Amino acid sequence: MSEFLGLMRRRLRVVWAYATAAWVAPAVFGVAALIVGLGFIGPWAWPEPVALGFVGVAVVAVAVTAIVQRLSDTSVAVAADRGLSTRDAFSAALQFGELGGPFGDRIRERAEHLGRGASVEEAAPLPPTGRRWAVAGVFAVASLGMAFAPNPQDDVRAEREQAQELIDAVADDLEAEAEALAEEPDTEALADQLHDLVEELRSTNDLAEAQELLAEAQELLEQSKPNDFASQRAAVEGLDAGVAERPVAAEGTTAEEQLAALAESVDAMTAEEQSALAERLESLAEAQSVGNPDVAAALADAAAALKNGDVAAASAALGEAALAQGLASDAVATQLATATAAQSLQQAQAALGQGQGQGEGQGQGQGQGQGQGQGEGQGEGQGAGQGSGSGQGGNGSGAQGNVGGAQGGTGSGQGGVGTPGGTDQARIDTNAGATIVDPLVLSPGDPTGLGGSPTGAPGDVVGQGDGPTTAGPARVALADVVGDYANRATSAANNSQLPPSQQQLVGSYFDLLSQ
Amino acid sequence: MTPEECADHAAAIAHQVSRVIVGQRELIDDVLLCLLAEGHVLLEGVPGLGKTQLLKTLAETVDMPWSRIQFTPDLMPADIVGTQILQQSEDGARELQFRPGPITANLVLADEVNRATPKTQAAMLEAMQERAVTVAGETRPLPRPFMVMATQNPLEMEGTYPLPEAQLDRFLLKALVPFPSAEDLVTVIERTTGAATPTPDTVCDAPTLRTMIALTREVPVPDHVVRHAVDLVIASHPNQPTAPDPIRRYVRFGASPRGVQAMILAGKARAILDGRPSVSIDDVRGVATAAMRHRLVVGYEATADATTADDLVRIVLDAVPAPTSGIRGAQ
Repeated sequence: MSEFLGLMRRRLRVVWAYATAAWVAPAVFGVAALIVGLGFIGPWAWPEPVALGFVGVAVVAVAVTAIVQRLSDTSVAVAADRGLSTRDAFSAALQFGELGGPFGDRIRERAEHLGRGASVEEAAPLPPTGRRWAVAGVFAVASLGMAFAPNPQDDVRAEREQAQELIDAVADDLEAEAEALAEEPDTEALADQLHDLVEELRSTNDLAEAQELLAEAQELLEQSKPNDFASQRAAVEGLDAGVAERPVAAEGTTAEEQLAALAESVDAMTAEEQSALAERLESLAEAQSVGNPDVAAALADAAAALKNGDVAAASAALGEAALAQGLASDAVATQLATATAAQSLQQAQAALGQGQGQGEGQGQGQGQGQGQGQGEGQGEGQGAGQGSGSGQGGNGSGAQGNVGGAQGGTGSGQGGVGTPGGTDQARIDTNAGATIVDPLVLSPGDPTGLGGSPTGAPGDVVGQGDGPTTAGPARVALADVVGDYANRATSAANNSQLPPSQQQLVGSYFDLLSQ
Repeated sequence: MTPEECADHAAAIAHQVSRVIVGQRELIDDVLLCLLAEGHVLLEGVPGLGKTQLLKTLAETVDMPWSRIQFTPDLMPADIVGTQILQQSEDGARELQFRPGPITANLVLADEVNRATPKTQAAMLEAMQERAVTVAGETRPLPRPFMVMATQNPLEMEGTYPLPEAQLDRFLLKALVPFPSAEDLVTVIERTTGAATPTPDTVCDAPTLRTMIALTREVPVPDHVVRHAVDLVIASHPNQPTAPDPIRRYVRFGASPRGVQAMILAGKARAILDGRPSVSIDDVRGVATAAMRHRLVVGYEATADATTADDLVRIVLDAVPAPTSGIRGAQ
């Protein structure tokens, strides 16, 4: 009998699981259908997985409960008695298993006899649950139908997934940028802000919101950028380039190193060398006066001290100049890193804008463009070297603006100013060490060194014919003057009635020159 | 005696009774249940349905002293329990001697018990419950087994007195005697109008019956069976939470604890008759109607609505179904 009751117990677990499943199936599949149906309301990705998971959890819960629930011996015996109509033979045997007398043995024998020939399937048949399964089946079919039916929200969902991928990619890039930024001096705060931005980006899948975040971050970075960064950078790098081209000391490669070395060795110079050095330092000081005033002041002090014959003061001033140059170099490096981050943000915005434009496929945007033009001018020289020309710059590209989520905006650049030189094309060489004609220094008759051949009519005085490689006194290093140029141009543009976009264009142009 | 022998004896008795009584198998079984449980049985039916014949036949199949009391309105208690009479001995001394009444027998056939007055009916109370009679301050035990087999006519008939609840409660079962079917009635006519009337054989004696009764009381009853009997009785009480609405409406008093005893005892006898070594739920539910119908005190609303005690017991049985395993999907 115990063997039969053991089989009966297992059978009852199956019956319980089946009956319970049938009992809960309509509700479970009904809820699943409801959840799947929610997918038609909003572009959510979770309804179908949640519905599937809900059904799975219900199945697992029923199965686990069927396995672990406790079925008492009495319950099993009663179920067997009821199922086999044995008139409580198993229940009595269970209770009176140890009973003696005339009835104990008979109770046990009867139960054993009934248990031997009994079938647990017959004792505990699966309950009739057809109607419940039918209802559950209807819900299940409805769920599957809705899951596989064309859903307009699928397109929206796909677009959101693409947006999410795009945002994730942008976030990855920005995170790498933040890591790189963190390695620069004095940029920990900015790097942390970028990290925060990355986290916020990862938490959204809305392109517009992501763009807003990027715009805020970019604004933050822009605010951290000093107004005179272009001139400062030009001055710092120009000084480095100038001393690299014409070293002021025998040792060192950078201006800081050379100035430091010069401070050590200035007392060993001859008077003529000191005089020439003073001139050179004055020249350098003048070039640094706008973008790097601390260095300029120190250099001017050094030049003055040399002229006064105070070598010790000159040495001290040169040391200060070296120190100031080092600090300025660090500041420029920081700002460059910041600028790189800002550029990354700008690119990220562009990418998001493009993604959003593609995603929505419509919308008209009017953006504020920022263009960079590569100027190519053609000029015609006149007389004694005074030349003027005009050039038409090429259209810039790559800028974008975003209003209402649509990509838009075009950039336009204004070409550079043509320089005298006949029909030759004047090209601004922005390479390190490049030179440029400084109109402030240019005097009538000075060769411009722009090369070219005379094209004037006979009798006209055209150019000086110095040839392309002749450098006149008006020709100075671009790096030495670009800062001053940038500062002057920016000031002029800001003080004029130019629209902000054009003011920004001027600033961008000189930023490009500085880079 | 083994349970099988007990069942054989019971079957032999039933067979002998069936030789005389046509049909009425359920009625015979109820009477046999009371015999094995040593309980009193009350048969109710209109005159002429063989109630008296059934009990007389049963008494004849069992070789035991039996008596018959025809209850009439002028029957006195002393006519039942006996009385003391003044006797003069040979030496001239006079003394009161107790002369037992017809109640002093193993089987007492109380015919038309509801025709006697309540006072006379009350004389049966002590005998039925205590199985003893008290006359002139002296209590005398009645022979065992002692069983009263009473018949009564429906109360609507003329010249009947309703049995008091206390006495009704002392009947183990109350069996209704149905009118026989046409086929059975034909057989009855053939048997009773011919030259030879079938007579039962005696197949049992008092010691054997006492053994059978003792064995019946030993039949084990599972706890859940007892619990079910208790639940049935409790549900018959209108003030109990498990009582169905009709019980609350029609029943004034539910079955007494004797109702549970009756169901268990009759269930044991039913198990013996069925050749089973233990009492089942079906045994209890099978005797529930006979054990409870006379124990329900119904109100006038039931009478007005033509709701009988049997209807109410069926309602109780429906309201308290047989216990199941409690396992979903299984019985």
